[in-house]
Amino acid sequence: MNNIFLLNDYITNGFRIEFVDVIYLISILFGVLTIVSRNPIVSVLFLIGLFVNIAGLLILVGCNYIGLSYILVYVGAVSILFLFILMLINIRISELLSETNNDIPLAVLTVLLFYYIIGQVLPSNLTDNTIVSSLSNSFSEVYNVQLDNEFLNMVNLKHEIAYASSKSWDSSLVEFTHITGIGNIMYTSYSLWLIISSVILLLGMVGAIVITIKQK
Amino acid sequence: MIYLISVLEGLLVIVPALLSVAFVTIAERKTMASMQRRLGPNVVGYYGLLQAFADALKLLLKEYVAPTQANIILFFLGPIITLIFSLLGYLTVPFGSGLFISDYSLGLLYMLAVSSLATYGILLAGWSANSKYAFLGSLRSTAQLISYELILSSVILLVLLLTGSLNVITIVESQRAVNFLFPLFPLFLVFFIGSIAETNRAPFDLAEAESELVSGFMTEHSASIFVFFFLAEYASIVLICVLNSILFLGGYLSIIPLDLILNVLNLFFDVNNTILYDIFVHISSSPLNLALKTAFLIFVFIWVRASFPRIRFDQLMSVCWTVLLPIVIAYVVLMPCIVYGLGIIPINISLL
Repeated sequence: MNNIFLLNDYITNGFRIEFVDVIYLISILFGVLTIVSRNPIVSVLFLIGLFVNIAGLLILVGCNYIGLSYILVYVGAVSILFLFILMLINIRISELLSETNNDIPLAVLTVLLFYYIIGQVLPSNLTDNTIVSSLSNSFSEVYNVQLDNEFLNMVNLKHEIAYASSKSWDSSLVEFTHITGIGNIMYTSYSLWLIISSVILLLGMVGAIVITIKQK
Repeated sequence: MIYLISVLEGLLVIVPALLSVAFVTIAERKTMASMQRRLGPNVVGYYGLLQAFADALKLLLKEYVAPTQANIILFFLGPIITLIFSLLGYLTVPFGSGLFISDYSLGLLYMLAVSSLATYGILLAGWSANSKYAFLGSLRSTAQLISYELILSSVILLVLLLTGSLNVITIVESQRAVNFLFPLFPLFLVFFIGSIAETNRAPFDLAEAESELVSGFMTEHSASIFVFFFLAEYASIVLICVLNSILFLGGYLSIIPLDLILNVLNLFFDVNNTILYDIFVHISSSPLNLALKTAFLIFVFIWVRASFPRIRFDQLMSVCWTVLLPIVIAYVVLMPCIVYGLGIIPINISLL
């Protein structure tokens, strides 16, 4: 009667490194489809799918608050407005005009340049053990050097991921949630920047009203 | 094998949620019938209790018709998205003390995010049907949902000011002293009006105004796909009533002041060692409390539907932006001042 049954469900619960690979592949697919699809509404829908994917990835690696606010802000508000406006515009005209094949070399060049610069700056962090990221990182030298150093610790690293993404019960007693940490930083050390950015937001709102108001 | 248990956990919430949806539809029809001096459904089962299942069976057996000009994939994706995201909100609801699927530290934020995603289903369904009625209905519905979501999230922000946590269980437990209904009564009214508008219910059901738009965004949807919309609508009604009772009425906490009764009884008898005490402890945080509060709020939803005439769309939007929002913003300024002035800033309630 008084027994406690402890069931550790590790398949449907918690972080599994294969999920990250799947999400990477799906988000790349969605990103390509966003550009390729001709109908602008379908294109925005793929963009929304991409946002949801990225939010899922952020939640999966432990950034719960950032992931949820991604859904709330980008998917729940910004993209809905995009979709709303696009549905009101007559799309048939713009569908005929889309001939974008000339820009493909430019797109490839931009992405390569971006990735070359970013790949040198970004440190190889804990989540860098997935298939996609190791494939893509094998092109840059920085990663290979670090990989040699950490090669022996690869197995431990995977354990550390599960630890760092705070799925164990004791972390909820000790750890601050991200929202607490962000709040503590934003309202103390960087409160001036918060005020400045809010003034910029106010400026945007006032600007929109000024543009649409009728002058008599 | 062991992962079946978490699947079963999920089913244990979803199946009763869908069953409650079925009975809410009958409750609505019977209540509205008695308010309009009719009998209502009374043939299938005792007092018409099984009418919803008969309706669902009829809809499932019907032939489905999709318009030839429609975007078929989005046409079927819309209702599915609506249903899935209206059911996902049940994940963080604590039904009793310890009765939850997920004790999520950002539970309330999660509920908001999921409910904002449900808008897409309506938008997609209306656009993909390639019909003017459905399109107008979905645009109206989306504009309404976006506007009223602002009010709901601002009110939730004020509740958070008194609890200091986004965890739903912490919000319920911090109402042990007093329900938030008493300090925040005007906000409860605003929140309740907002939730009626958020679920597209009468008198704010402009999205499916029968006299203007046939049936709104679901005009072209029929048979089993229509069941999805139907289930999603009522599931979100039940969910938002649960949210109302969690935020303002104390969730699963007891309705009856059991402490007071125990103290009075202790004057005359030695209650603490009897079975009565155990029963009281058991009742004090049982799921029945949440069920009663939610059922009452759903009744108010139906009552409002039967009582008030539908308002115009521009009236609806102007009420949102020029009446409700200024009230809420005034409270957003006032409440932190009160909390700071009285020195009742909540700290670490979740660790108590």
